[in-house]
Amino acid sequence: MFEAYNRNLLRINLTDKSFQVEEIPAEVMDKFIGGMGFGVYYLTREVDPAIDALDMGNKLIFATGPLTGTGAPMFAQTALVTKSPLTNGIINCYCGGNLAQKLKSTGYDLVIIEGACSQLSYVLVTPDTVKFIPCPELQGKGVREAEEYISAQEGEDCGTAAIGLAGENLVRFASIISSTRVFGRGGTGAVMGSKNLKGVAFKGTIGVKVHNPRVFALKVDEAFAVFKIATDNPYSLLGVFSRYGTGGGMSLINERYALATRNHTQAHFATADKIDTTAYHKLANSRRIACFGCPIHCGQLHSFQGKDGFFTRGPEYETMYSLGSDCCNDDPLVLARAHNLCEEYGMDTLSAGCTIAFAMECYERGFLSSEDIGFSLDFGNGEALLKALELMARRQGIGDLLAEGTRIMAEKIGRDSAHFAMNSKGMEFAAWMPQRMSGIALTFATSNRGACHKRGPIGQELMGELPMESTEGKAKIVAGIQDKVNALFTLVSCRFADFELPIEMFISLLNAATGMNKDVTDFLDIGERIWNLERLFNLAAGLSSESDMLPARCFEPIEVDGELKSLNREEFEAMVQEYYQVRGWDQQGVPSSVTRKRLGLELPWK
Amino acid sequence: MLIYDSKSCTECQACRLKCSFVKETEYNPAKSRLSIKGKWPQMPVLKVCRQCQNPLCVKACPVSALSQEEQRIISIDYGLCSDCKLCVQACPFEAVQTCAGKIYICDTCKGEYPCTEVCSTEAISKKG
Repeated sequence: MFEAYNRNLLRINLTDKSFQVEEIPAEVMDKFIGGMGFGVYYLTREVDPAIDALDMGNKLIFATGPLTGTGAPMFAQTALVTKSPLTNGIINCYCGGNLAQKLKSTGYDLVIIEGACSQLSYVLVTPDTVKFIPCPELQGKGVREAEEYISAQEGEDCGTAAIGLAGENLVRFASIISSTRVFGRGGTGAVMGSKNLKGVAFKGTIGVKVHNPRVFALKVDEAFAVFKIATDNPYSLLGVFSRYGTGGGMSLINERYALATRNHTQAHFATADKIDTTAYHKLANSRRIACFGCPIHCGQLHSFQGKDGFFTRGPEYETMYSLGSDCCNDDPLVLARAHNLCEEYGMDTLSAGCTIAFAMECYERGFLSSEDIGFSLDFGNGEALLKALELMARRQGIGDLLAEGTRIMAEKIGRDSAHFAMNSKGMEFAAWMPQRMSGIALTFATSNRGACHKRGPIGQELMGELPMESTEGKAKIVAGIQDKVNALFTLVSCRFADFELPIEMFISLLNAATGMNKDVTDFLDIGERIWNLERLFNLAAGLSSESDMLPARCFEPIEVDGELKSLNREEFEAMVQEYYQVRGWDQQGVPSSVTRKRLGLELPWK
Repeated sequence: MLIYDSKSCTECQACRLKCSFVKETEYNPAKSRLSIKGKWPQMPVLKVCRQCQNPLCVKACPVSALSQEEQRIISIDYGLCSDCKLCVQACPFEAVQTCAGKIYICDTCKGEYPCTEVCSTEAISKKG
């Protein structure tokens, strides 16, 4: 029997306020390990792919992994898997902080939340029981207030996560927030809102015992030593993150003409230095904050003084793009306030910013008028940006349209707006530019989450290890990264951990913790199995090879230091076909029966 | 003695994980002998035994389960402890930790403080 697990899952039914504990079969641990693997396994078995994501038949699965709560550094993330109201496909989403350790300390490895509450409520999970607590007084309240309320009721030692107004209003990219960290992408907050669930709280004192404490402790020491060398080096990526947060790389990305600007029409933002982390260090009292057990401490907390003083976490690099360069906003205070609004209302900063950039372009082209919007929404207008975010969260006026995200907006606005609605599968683009980096183009196109940046060759293309534009060989590279990152998300690792740790070290930690005997091939097979299972769910949900296409803007030339560069459409399409081949899928992107058999995938649905 | 610099502390809790692993062979911050609590924008606070000259926890113990040993280290005789928690109330520094009815007090690990080894910002360090 595998160690470092609780070996139990908790099933909570919000409709009839019941719960039950179920044993997790050893075979599921062996084939899916934990975290994202558990989430995808249970969701694909239990949720009909064809249902609407906001139907009460959808489920929210919070999952931890075997390394959660141990002393191994950079395994603080909670995985959340559900069906996304933004993409209509499956979404896996991650939040750092201390939530995962708190969840695991209640004696469960994952929690499956089903049904819907009859009135706005939160649930408290302890090792002994589950409580369903109505909280109508929290209706419309910000996330911070909701979490403080729950902590005041249940004790400061709770791990909490909550939604804000955007989740309650079913904004399609509403997020779930846990203290200073976020389940950002894909609208998990709207799913929670559709269940009338304001928050969750985990409170327990159960620890984690590993299979081989001596070996595990040695491996943990080795991992700490690797991260120490990395963070001591101010020029390594983790060295930069530990000093300046993820925003520390912004100037380099801008210099390399890879900073998406003005709704992805430019690759360089002339005034980017006004909104990078060093600007915040001058403007605010700042300090670093870490996720549970993490020596990188990439989180930045800023406290702005003065009459209108406020405090906020971040913004992260991706937010500096979405609410900054993509909207041509170079006012650091507007950016911080915009970020703070997203944290209070519980909205994905990436989708929110990218959607407003799209609306700004629609406004400038005359597809949306001042009368439609209620004010002038031009690029660089900070006041308008903040107003649009308010309306979006409230679904008031133009906000009701903005809250749908770029794909549905483009369908409603018509003309040729889909051409520059920067999304893939409905999910708005992360900070990177398919026009500049062909691996990113393939990543955005084929990711099961939509235009997500978590599983692409960003560093390799940005730093010149791989040619940026050439599509040659990228299919195999991207598929390999997707499988590897999926495997890492079963543990549940931070995305940054493998910047320094070799894959063998993750596997040594896993084996020493659990008593498993996995090698690199076994581990990557698990990542591939999960990837294919997600793909099959998405196909059954109505997605197709057409969903692997990018908006037309990605194939238009873009200026790079005086030269025009572009992604060639034919080469891109050939790369997608090559990718299908690498994956063992047919020309329509459907996993073949041979591939399904090889990965041991049985489908519960047609 | 343990020195704490709250400005450097990132609240990662690695020290507490290390403590519980060294003492209990399990990873469980709830059984750690030290606690770090923060609530931004306030600075975090470390709570750990300071080896007082006249320890009020020892005085408060009605069953003599607590005693002060060499280097002023507090020793707990769990055989005698009745889980009354009077020591918890008596400590002015909130340094007596509790989990599931049991008390935990830092014994400095013979002055080695292995908890400091995993602090990435040297927010906790040992003096002397």
